[in-house]
Amino acid sequence: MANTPLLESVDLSPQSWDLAHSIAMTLVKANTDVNELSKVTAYLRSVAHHPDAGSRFFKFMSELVRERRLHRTKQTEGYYRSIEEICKDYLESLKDNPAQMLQILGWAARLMRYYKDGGMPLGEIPPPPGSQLNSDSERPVEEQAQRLAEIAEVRDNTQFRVGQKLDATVANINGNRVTYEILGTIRLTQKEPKRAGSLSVGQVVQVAITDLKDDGGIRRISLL
Amino acid sequence: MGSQSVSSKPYELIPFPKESPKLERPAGHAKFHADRLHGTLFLTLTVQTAVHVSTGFLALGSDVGVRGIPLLKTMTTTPDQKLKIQGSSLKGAIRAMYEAITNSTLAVITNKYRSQIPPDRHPCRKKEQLCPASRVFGALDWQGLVEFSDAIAVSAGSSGGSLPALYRPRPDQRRAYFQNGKAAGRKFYYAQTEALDAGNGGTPTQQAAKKTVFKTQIHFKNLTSAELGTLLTVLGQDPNHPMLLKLGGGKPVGLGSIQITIDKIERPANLKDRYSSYVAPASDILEGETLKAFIQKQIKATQGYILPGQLKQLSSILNPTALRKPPSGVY
Repeated sequence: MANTPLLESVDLSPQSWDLAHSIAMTLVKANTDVNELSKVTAYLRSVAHHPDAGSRFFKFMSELVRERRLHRTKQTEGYYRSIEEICKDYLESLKDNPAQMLQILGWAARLMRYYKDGGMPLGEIPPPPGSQLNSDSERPVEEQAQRLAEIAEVRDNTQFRVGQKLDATVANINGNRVTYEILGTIRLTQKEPKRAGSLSVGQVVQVAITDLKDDGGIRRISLL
Repeated sequence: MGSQSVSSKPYELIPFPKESPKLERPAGHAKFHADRLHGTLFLTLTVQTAVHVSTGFLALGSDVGVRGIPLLKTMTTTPDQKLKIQGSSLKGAIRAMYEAITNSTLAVITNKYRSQIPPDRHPCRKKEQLCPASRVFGALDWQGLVEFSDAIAVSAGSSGGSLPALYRPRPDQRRAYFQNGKAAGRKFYYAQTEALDAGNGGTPTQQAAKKTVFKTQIHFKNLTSAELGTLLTVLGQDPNHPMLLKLGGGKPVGLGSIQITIDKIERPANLKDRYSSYVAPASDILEGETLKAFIQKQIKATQGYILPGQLKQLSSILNPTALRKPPSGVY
């Protein structure tokens, strides 16, 4: 097994950390079983020394969704489906770097437990690389600082409360995940399985706040 | 389960002997005792009904060279794609049989059923006081006298099969498991004529097909003739009590029967000379008639050590000449 990519040490870049966090948060939101993520990671590890490890991995996942004889309960298919979706969104661009994919998936599994059992509030999930909106960490530092300041200003000046109605702009749609932009600065991504199809980017919609974070920020909204 | 007819269970319980096991001081590893036996058994394992020892990994059929199955549960393989049965799996199956025909304790118990296991069958805990099986195979904090190597298939390649759905054991619902509130004995599945295949309805698995041949070795040291004879009996070498090994997943539906033959035994006449050279002198290798005579001698020495009643029962469950058909219904 010498010279396999597994033995190379990979330092995760801030972007990769973002990916791991995003994968973990999205899967926790979709109520996915962390053991199933570990199972697909184990497969990737077992083929990581092959030159086509990335494409084998994606083929494996699509078979996993399809092969019902390996599903233990009715929920298993849903788990595999959301894992496949999120991996396609976030890891397709790293297809040729299985060592990095493994690191990200490994951390995503650990972070899933952290977000699920640690009661960590789930905030805005950075969209996948290459989508219309880049994640915060890929913006220049000054721009990030400016954006954080804007968010803080809006938060400090605005007292949100549960039930409050607001205008929101649809900033991005990815599958059934919709990113809303509220008051021009706050971005919030959540799943809208029933409504995503009928929305379009740039559309202004009315939303109501359904849950607040401890610091007074918005945790969840519902589309009216 | 509904109204489907329930087939009889394809296993039997071999009751624990009435007498408590005799706990003795083990031979240990500090030195090679001149009056005891040391050496290596060279074994050939021939698969009688498909074998599947699971790894827990899933893989694409194309990854493991099995055609026609997109995704399956894998077995362990060598880097050059030869199937492998882990030494630990072999050891477990062989130890269970050894325990059943000698007056031994259980090797492992779960806490859930601790109170229902007769106290004299609890695993040995004192290093100096071990039951017959623990003296040979080891106990907690105590290394055994036999070492198992992985069994490697002679040629590359494997086949795929579909494992029928199995239900969990239901000791609490089934009275046969307990007598007077205590565990009734050890459970062994029958050796069966064929391995069932569930077609499109079961779990796709990588399997060692019928007639696959594996090779392995067992090293032994400081064994008495009776202990080695018992090990050879368990390996099916007693012509009066032939036995197959039953190993891996799917035992209730006919999988996992393996026939063992002993190719040769290496038994160094002089340990100092043996460890001074790489190759064993020809005089140390027992083959053909000398091998047969040696095996017979050891098996004879097991009188009074093996429990005849238990041996008869185990041999009738695992007898290769009286195989049962796997049950077809739900069980």
